[in-house]
Amino acid sequence: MRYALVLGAAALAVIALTQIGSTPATRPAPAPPVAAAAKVMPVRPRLPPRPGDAPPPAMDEPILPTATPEQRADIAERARGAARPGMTAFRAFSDLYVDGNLDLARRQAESEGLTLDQVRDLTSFGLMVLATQRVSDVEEIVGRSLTEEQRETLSALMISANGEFKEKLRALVAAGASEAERWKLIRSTQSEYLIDFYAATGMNDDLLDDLLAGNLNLPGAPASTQPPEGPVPPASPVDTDLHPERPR
Amino acid sequence: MKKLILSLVVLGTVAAGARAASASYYVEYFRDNLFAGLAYHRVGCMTDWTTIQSNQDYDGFTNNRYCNAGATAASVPNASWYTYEFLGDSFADAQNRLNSCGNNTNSSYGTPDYAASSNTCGYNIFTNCNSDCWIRYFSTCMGQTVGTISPCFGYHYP
Repeated sequence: MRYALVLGAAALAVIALTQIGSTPATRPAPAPPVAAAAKVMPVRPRLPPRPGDAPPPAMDEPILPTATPEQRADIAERARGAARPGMTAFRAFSDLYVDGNLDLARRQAESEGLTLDQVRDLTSFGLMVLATQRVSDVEEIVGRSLTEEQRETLSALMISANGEFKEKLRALVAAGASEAERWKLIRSTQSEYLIDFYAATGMNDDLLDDLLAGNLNLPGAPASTQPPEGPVPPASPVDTDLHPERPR
Repeated sequence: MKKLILSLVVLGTVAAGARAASASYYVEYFRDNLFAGLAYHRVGCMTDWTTIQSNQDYDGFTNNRYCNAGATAASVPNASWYTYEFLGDSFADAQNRLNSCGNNTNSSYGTPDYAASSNTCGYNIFTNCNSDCWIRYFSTCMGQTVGTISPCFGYHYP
């Protein structure tokens, strides 16, 4: 199985991850705060828009995050000798992603009544849950096709876990729960999701680590990747509105 | 006076009929926020602003279903609206454009038939291999790039 190489790639992951940010001088500087981002909430027009109508509000330009030497050292330290190299690499990239959107993360934390660390943790968990929904990858790792029933169970699991978590979290926050109580909910949700995911698919901790490490035969796998050669991504809008309202 | 009222009623009816007969089509974009963090799945649906017009999800990297023909366009299951693009008054032209850009994006990301996994790149939220980059490429192809937050390192269009 192509994922079998993953565990042996832990050292490679360390090397690769430490190279993040060793980028050409042409890349943008580290991200400045995006405090001015999108003050205007997109509003869905009541009536169907027509040509000539005001277009949807323009969004801010994206900011390409680059890792500082300190960040690279931190990533290397975390990956070095990790028991779960796939999870470690996956988390490192997730953290880079949050670091590249810190202002948005802070506003999300404020909006949900969370700490920044909790948003960081939940982002990684959300991305991991999305990874568990890649049925073809899961099937390859467990070595068999999932039945239609298993696929439906897996899909429903993400939806129900996500919905129930947000409902409980918002109830906790509304009730003035402490940070520790919120962490307790986060940890129990993560644990329960994995138990149900394993039961639905036949996956386990080791196989999940393979899934998160990615396919080493393809470019970009978290356990083996470094930023690909090529031009810096062109500017494009960044989605910074936490609660856009669709006009009636 | 009765004639005037009757005329107005008739005119109103004709105008309403004309409006109904000349539907316009849109791609509306929705995002599914996972666990209150910054993890999103993004998807485009074809709508006439009132209802979703096809079962085709314009997205990559998931098998989850969002666009259900006939359902209200104001929302899709488990996701919230965030922007749109006007596609004109021809259903066929709008759908052809969407499918053409869908196919282009699937080719670019190795996600044939909107597959949940790429056969050409390893999923990574930081690099050009995730659903944010997929929808960014797709929406750029459609003509109006939507907001995303993955840096999509290595992204290029086309």
